Amino acid sequence: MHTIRSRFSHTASTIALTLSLGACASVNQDSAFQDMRATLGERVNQELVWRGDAAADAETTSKVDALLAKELTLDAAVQLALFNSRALQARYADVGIAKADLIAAGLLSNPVLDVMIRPTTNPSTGANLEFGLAQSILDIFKRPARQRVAQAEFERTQNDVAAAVVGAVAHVREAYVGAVGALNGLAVVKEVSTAAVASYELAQQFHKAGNISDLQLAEEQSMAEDSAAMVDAATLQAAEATEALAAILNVSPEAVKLPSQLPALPEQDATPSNLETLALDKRLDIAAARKTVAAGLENLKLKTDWRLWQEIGLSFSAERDGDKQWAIGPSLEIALPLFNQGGPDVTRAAAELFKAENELKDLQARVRSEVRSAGFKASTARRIAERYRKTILPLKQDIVRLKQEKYNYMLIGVFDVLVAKREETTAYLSYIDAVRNYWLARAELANAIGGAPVDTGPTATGAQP
Amino acid sequence: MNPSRRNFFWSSLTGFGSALIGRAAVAQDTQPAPAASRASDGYVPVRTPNGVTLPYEMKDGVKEFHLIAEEIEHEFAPGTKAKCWGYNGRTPGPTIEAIEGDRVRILVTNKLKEHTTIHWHGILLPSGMDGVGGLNQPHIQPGETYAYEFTLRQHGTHMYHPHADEMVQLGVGMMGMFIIHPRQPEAKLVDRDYCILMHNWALHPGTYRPDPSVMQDFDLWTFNSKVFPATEHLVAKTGERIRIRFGNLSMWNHPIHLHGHRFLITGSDGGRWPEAQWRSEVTEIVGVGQTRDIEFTGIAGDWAMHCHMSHHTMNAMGHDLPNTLGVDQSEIGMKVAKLLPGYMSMGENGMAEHQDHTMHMGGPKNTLPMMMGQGPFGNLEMGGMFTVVKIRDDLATGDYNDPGWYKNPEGTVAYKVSGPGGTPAPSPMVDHSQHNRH
Ligand SMILES: [Cu+2]
Repeated sequence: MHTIRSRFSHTASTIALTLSLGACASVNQDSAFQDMRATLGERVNQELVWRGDAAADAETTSKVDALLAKELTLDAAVQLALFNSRALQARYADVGIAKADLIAAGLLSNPVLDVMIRPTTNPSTGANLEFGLAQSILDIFKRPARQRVAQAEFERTQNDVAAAVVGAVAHVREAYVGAVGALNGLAVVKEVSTAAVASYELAQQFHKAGNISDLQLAEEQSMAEDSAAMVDAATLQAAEATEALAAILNVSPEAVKLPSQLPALPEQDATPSNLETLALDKRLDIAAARKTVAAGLENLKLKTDWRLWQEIGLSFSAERDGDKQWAIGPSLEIALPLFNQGGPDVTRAAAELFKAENELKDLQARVRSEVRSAGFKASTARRIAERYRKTILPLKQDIVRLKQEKYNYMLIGVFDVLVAKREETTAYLSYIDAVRNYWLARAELANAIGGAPVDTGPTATGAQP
Repeated sequence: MNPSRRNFFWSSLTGFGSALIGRAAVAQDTQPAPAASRASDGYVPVRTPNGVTLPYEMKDGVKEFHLIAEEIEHEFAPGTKAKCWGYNGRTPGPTIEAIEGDRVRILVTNKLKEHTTIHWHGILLPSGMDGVGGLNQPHIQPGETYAYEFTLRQHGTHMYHPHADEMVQLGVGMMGMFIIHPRQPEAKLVDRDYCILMHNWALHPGTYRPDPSVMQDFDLWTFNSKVFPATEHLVAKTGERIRIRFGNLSMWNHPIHLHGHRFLITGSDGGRWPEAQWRSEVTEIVGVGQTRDIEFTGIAGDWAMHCHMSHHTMNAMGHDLPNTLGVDQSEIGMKVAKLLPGYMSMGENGMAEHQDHTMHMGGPKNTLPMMMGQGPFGNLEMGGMFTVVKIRDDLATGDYNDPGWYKNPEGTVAYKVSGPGGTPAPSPMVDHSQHNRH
């Protein structure tokens, strides 16, 4: 064996170079995660953690506890999810996997050693030995191109994962707004019910005095019971919404301290005018689609350049025949492009590229539409919420006040005033709905343009008009 | 009519509006002293509480009057004004007063934005002077002036009102009284002669214009377009013969009740009735479109005079209220007050407390409390068609000034026999005059 090695020495340097590319090829997951964080950039302003080891995990747990200790704001809810979502941690692992693939792509295929021993019937000659070392040459030549494909793939995965983070942030916002809105709604439905129950209790007193009929009492009771059923329905809705948020945050519903009201609308929406361009620039799915196109281009080039060369093998073999002499020499193996000239591979690569290019264009068109739609939804949601806050709710309050003035002058009865009060409270319910729709639309818009920066975020005060 | 009185009429016509504002008991100095013309004209001029008499000019033996139909702002009582229509700046329009046999020419100028006419209700005249637009004459278009000219062939208590778009024009206040005195002075001449025109108004709470579409559910019931406590009190001297002429241009009948007297029904739009037809009453229904004269001799005191439909002595009120009588709201009231800050339960023991409530609880704007008025002993809890006839021993003849509340002679006021500060009931054995001195 020693002799063989020495005779191979002139090729050793080539192989050593090749090996060095992959020798220390253990994948660093944390650096892959940091790459993804860099890709995500300012789309998400909050802190992202990779809970890859016990220390990081413990530190994050304490941060989670600190967030849970206080009343949860919208931003805090997003941060909490970024800390605590196991779905995100699972998603981060994809970046590590892609990184491993990338490194693998930089490695040459390992050389193949074959050993053949053929014992002979002639005792004087001994066994017939044959050693062969074969390496795919094409693999070496194709390596840079293959690496570019793998790099593109890796970047695409980073994009996907970063996009998943942006999507997760949007989901947290939706769930948060849904939960706080539902809780706020429940409180208001209870108020509506209180007015209805008060009306019924009054009616009971009127009935007891002999002043209203069984029919009138039954009607009042019916309204009170209806409102109680509304409370039940709203209770379920609130529980479901809270549960949905807790699930995303990966905590128990009891652990979350939610405010009683949704954040008030900011004075103005910081909405850039060039939303569509911004989206095309910032959207990670578009970036991913672009990279798919780039990778497709690389792949097509690779397949085209090497179409005729399906396989080139270079090997060295040493043979000891019966005469006990070693015969050593290289051999070359080339797949002759007689039947398959790589045409199908090129066709496939071209089709894949065509597909990717068109998918990109389709995505761009859909994103533009999505952004326009989300923008319109957000501005309309604001207008509706503002109309409730500035006009409808004050009007309903005025109506109660004016009815109360009429009551004061014995022009109408208390039941009429309570009906107006119930209507005022019901309008407040619609207002909460409008505020909730506003925040949902803002989350949708932020998501549609690829991340958070358009959002000024909620002001500190509640949505009380 | 002497010149000084003529001037007085004119000045009172222009200055009258401001004199009323802010006073519950209105100024009494806007009317002529009745005694003044007694000798010369053989009658006591009628006095229109809260109103005025229309002056005239003698032109070639014709008494020429001038009515101007126009939109006005009218105050029903301090706290409630409305855009109404009337004549010469007021509702009711000035009272026309003339003598049987007079030739009168009444110029009517239309300053409204729609046509109008005037019908002389109950007056005998040529058909073409009767004022039914389209039937008797062309309508008086905006900006036009028409003359009605006829000779008065009767006496009595009459009225005038439009007969063009009548429902609207009457509904928003166009009306007035037309008093014709007999040519031959009455055998029993009255000392004071009042006229009151009754009406109803759908001035819904919080609004500023009467709604002419309402048929029954009226908000305000008025004597000369005023509601109590803005209705002018009627003043007379003890022993004087007093006549009150009522006209009704509203859409309800009004049983008019005078306290403390028996009165005689002595006439109507049919003129002064023969004495044999006079009836002694304390309440007389004045039907829709009718007039009635009542006469009585004044007895000292403060005497309520009002329509006896009790809802007609209320100001704006709800007619579809849940009945709160006997409803204990003590506990639930607190709950309701939490929902409706400022809420006050009321009406469990009656509605009297309401007058006090309205003093500190706000009502709809331009709306009067349902019950109002203060007397020497407390709240009067009245509104609408209510006024006080004040008869005094020591009044000068022709003095119409408000003499203030009646000073009841000692021992002539209902007194408390039990309860805090009560005086024990006198036993039948005790001499009342003796008791009163204690
Ligand atoms: Cu009446």
